[in-house]
Amino acid sequence: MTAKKKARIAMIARFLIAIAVLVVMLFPVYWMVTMAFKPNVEWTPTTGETFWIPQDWTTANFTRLFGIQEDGAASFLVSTPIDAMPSIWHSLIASIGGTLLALLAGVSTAYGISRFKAGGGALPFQILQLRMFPPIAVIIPILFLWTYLQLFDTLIGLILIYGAVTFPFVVWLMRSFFDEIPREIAEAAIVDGCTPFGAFRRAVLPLVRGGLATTALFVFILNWSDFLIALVLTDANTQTAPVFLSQLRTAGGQEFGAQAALAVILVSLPVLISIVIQKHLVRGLTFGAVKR
Amino acid sequence: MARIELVGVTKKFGLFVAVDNFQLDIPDGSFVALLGPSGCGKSTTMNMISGLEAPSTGEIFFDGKLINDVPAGSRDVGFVFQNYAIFTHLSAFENIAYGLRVRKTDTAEINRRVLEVARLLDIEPLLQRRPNKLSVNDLQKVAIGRSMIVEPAIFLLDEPFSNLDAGFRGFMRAELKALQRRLNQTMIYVTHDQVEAMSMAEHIAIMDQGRLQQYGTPDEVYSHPANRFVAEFVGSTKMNFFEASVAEGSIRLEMPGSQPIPLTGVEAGFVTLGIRPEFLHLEAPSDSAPWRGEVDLVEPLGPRTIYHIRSGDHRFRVSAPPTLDLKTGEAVGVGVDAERIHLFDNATGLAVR
Amino acid sequence: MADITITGVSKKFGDIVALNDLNLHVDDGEFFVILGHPGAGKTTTLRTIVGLEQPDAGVIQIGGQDMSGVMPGERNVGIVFQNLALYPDKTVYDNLAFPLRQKGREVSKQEIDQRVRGAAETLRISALLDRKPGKLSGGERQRVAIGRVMTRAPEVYLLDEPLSALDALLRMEMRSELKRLQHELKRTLIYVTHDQVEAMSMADRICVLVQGAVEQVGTPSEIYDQPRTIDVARAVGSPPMNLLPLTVDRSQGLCLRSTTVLFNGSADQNLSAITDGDLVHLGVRPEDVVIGGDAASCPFTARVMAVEPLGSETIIDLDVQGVIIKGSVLPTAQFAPDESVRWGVRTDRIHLFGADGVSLYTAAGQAHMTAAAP
Repeated sequence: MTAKKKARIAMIARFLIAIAVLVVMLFPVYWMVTMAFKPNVEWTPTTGETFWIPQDWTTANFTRLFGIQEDGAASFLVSTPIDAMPSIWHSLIASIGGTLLALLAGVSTAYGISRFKAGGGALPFQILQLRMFPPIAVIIPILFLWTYLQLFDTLIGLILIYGAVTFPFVVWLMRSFFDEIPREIAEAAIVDGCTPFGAFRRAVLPLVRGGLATTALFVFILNWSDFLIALVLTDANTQTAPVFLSQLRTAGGQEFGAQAALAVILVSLPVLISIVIQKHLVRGLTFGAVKR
Repeated sequence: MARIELVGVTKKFGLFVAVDNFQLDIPDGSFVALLGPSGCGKSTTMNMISGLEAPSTGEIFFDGKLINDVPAGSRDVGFVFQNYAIFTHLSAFENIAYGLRVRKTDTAEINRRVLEVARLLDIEPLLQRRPNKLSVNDLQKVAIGRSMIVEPAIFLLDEPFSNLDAGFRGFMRAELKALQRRLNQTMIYVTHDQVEAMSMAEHIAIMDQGRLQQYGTPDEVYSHPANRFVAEFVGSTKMNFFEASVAEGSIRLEMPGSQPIPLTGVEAGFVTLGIRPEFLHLEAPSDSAPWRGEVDLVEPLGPRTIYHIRSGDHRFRVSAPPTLDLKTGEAVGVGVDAERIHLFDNATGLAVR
Repeated sequence: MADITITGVSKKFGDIVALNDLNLHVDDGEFFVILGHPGAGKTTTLRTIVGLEQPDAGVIQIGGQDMSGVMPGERNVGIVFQNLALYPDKTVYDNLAFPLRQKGREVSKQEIDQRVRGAAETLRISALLDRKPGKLSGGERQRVAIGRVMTRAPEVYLLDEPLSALDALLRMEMRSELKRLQHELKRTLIYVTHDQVEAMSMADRICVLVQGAVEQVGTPSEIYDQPRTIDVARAVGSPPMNLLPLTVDRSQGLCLRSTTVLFNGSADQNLSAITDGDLVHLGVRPEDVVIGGDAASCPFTARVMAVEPLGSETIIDLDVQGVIIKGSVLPTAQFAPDESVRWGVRTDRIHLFGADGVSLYTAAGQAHMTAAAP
């Protein structure tokens, strides 16, 4: 067998393996999306056949989320109306708020560490240590603390905890983006007359736009998908969407269809955001600034 | 030790022709420099010889054997890169030994050969250090050692000294040249620095825009450039170029106060006249001086001084001994060594004389 | 007036001493070059002048005014960094205009436009104003970096190895361009480099910096012909000055000898500082080494180690008792490796350095020594 033929077979094999892996990974997503559009009949088919593709597409599951009752929504017995809107709202506010808080604190910390070696060698590691505690290990003490501070079941409380928990990620990610910017760019701006903060804002920050967008998106996803913290630290007043989803059962039983539909909605938001900010996720902004 | 031949080698990246119909014959055991400005195709040519790239068309032969389809790992070529590509997690010793370990050489043999190479390169005391504790200069030596130790038939070096400081560069050049002579290895050296090429190579292949411009000894390339590009590129002080016309057995420039210079054996017409600064000399301004002008800029270099002379719209450089202490604005006469004039065709750039 | 005076400046980074009691004066309007090896403290010196580093001790004065506590933006100094540091997200126009748009500078839009276009024209980059740095060649980026300083029109220009990343041909062109530019602008320009050709060809005065301190300041010819120490002597000239270690022998007048060479001092010589048995270094530049001449000019013999043809000259390496002496000969001369040749030196151009590296004697055109075979 010639080297060329061997190479071709290897390439095809690699391709097939990649396809197999892709199928395995994407199947749950596929299933979830199709489930959201299936009517009750196809959820619990009496004939025992599996509906790989919904035959009777319906949006009843989605409308059910917002209080509208229709035939065909997938649950054992359609009974009391449910409203997912408040929980989605809470999720949005808490996630966005937490992300902004983490960014505000984290970006300036990261710049301080990168440019001025703030905190000596120890600070970056100490910040990272914060995140080494899995939240589940400290969530009970935090519950006590939050209750004491009267932050339990408040949006402010959620925003604060989300910000704190994702702050180390922001520092960690942004620090490496700042490290790539040569210090002379900020210095050139200073020599041109900027204050150190002005130099940061006008000369350096525009260069890490891509990194900032990536970090913001990453942190937002972390907050948006959080289940544990919200479960413990909220109650009826500020319930977030993931918690709402997990508790979606009425007298009629577990609302599979509504759950699938809500899941689809929740997953699609980060995807949409990524598409919108796509061009900011492009690297290569610093090319040409310095000699290599 | 291997003879390398490139026959009609062309490399295209899409529509971009990086190397165009390259023809070269490198005898066994010689030191050849591939010289040219950035983007001229020299690194691409190097990559094709080493096997990292395949030519679009053309053949490459090592010792008469066609090696186009031989993968890079099997070609018995040693490669030293510009940014030394050293493994940062291994000590200097391990870096050099790497090639042998991959080939499963036994430990005693590895030790012996690494020490030998280290002695050759004068880095014995540094063998146990990690790369982050070594200077740039020593890192480059480790890189060379790493390629050397497997005793490849051919050594390819891609601008290996461009990251080193000027003083050390000169030293490494001499070391490399001595090394090559001792090992009698075929060495191909890629550079954009013509001083480097001139001082080290037995033969220089000058490239521009993917094409071979001239292949010859340093002296040939300097004194008998094949075309205008080579004439301009080679030489520590750029050659001067003038537009001139040949008629009736002499050549003259459109420069105020310039006399025609007698010239035979050249067709009448318009040409470009080239002459190196050291073949012009300054004298007192008088009517007998072939050219005239005034000093525009003075560049003292130590052993000689470069005077930028202006004559009308023309500007050119003359190399003169430092004792001639001329000032800006002084009027001078310029003598021309007619034996050292080069003429280039205006359209093709080829040397006519 | 934009003269610069540095008095007693020292600077340490942790354990590393970057500047060691630096004393320097740059005249107004001068093209001043600081020459030194990497690590000598050249960049640190520039950064201290511009104010990006604060000296641990000493005073920097610009135009007679003490600059302690003055922000870099207020010092009326412009700097071109070694890696240029252009703003990559801004167009060339905005890069040039940036300094004029800062708070505290009341510059009208028209004037900004005028200054930017004026600088662009002088630097011949007017066609590039709408491009971003990523789309420029090395030489073009270089000019933009200079332009960004020009628009501010400071009194002092600082350039940190601006040509080191350009290829050889471009470097040559930029050298003469920079010199011409400085003449036109008539501003004080401090230029830092490790390349001695740049220093020699462009400077009004050169300052040789060794390990954070000034070794010598002088015009190019002073530095070249009258170096005060070995470091200065070897800092300029390519190939660098040859140094031959010799022992002093005063038993018969003044002799400097080694096993292969012998120099006799004439009666006019007065080197009282050295005594019998002392080690001195004979310094001779490659162009002052004579190879292949008659017995009178070439009393010594040696073996040729290497031949380097450079086009306009050929460098011959000679083996003198294990020391390599480089001589420069005309390209027409033919020597081959391992050949044995006669050689000598121009005794009116030699230097003598003590064991401590300080110059004891410079021939400076007068031949007080004679060379003879030992």
